[in-house]
Amino acid sequence: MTREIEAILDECLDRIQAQGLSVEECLASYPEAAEELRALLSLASDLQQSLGPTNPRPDFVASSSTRMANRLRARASRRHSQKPEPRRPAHRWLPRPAYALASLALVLALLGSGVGVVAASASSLPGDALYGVKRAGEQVRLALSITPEGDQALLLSFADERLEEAELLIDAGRLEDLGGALEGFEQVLEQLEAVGAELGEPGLGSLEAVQARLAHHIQVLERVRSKVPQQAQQAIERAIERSNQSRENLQKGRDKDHPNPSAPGQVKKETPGENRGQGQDRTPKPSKTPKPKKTPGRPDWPTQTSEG
Amino acid sequence: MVEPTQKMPSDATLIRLARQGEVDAFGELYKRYMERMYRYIRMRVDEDQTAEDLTETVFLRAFEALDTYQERGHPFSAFLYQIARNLLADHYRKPGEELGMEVIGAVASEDADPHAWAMGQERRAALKQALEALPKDYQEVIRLRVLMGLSSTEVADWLGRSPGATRVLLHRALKAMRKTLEGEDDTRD
Repeated sequence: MTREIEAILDECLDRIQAQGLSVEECLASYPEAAEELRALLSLASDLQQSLGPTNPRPDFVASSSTRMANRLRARASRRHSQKPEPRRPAHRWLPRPAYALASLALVLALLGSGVGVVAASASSLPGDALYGVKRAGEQVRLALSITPEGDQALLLSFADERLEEAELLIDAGRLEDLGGALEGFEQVLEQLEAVGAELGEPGLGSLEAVQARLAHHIQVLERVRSKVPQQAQQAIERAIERSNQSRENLQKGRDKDHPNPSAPGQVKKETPGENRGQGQDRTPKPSKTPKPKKTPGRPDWPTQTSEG
Repeated sequence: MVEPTQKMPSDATLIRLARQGEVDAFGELYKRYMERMYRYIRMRVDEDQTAEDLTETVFLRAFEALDTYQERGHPFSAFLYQIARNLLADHYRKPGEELGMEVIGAVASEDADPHAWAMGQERRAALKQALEALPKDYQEVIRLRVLMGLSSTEVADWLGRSPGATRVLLHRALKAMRKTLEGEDDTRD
């Protein structure tokens, strides 16, 4: 009988959850078990209504797949690059001149295109030989962006990348290189603030998205902080403080009245990263280089990769 | 009913492809299980953003550990669930983090009857307290089978028990919870 009760309870739960039956409708099929199960099924129904789980927010559902795809690609790339290459003794039998020629051809190919080096650097971390190439590649991408909205999207993806690097360094126990990733993160925040000022009132429509992203960064940093020793925690705390400061500065930028950008004398050329001290001029400014103006559109954030 | 012209790839196929470096295959697994993992995690933490962050971390960890996953009758969702439980355990170990289910002090909607809302909140708090007073395995079977509405087979997979043992566990868990709540009611009277 006991075993049967358990099976009936399970079946009734299925019917209540899947078919929308009431407790009494279900128990009508099992009068012999009704007395014992009524209270349990009522409790289950009460629990479901009172404490049932919440669905994810639509904006999280919409954005997380792309963000996850980018993060997975970055990890896959690193995992691939970290796998030890199978030993290939083939070059040993090559006569020395042939081997030297092959090396020279490789160097020339790399110098000629540069693309291979940049691609290889994508998975590098602070402290790695190719890390400088990776950061320089980012600056090139930034320089090629022709709108502040594009700059903003790129900078947000770079901030993601710096935190991803920080996590990977911690996982690898390379705490001595952690500062490089965190400093890079703070530099990106400075650039983001400068771009925020450059965007001015029309572009600040995306401020909520940027603020949400920064809040997410703070959460990541807080999680990371719990994994590292005291000494490294200070650097992470500084990065958290810096993120909070950026959020405040961006919000102040929105709250402040913006002068008419087309008014004479208001336009001032500026490079992101400059003029970011206290009381900085947040007058809307043109793009950092004289470039053809794109039709203003939604920032294609996140844009670390074009796929996904 | 119209049969779909293209069959959805199985989890095993997607996992095999993901192991070969097909990130999109893992992305498909993410889409398939993200919402379920989020719902489970969200029951255990008090803020949307924490749940979102932890959900993404579950999948990143699963991706990193994909080579260690062996199906052996345990579905991929059970693998994710184990990662989520470990992650939540780490999360609660942090100072200042408390085991939570839902924000009990949820904001009442403007048109809600304040009295009914207050009663609902009181009931919710009592249920939450009674649930968290139960042994861990009782809590977990109630969360998965009753609150999330997973099938008993799936709950059995996630908990690593047989379906029969899972049904027995659920029966005992609900009886224990009812007893706890009755005890509270008696004390109140």
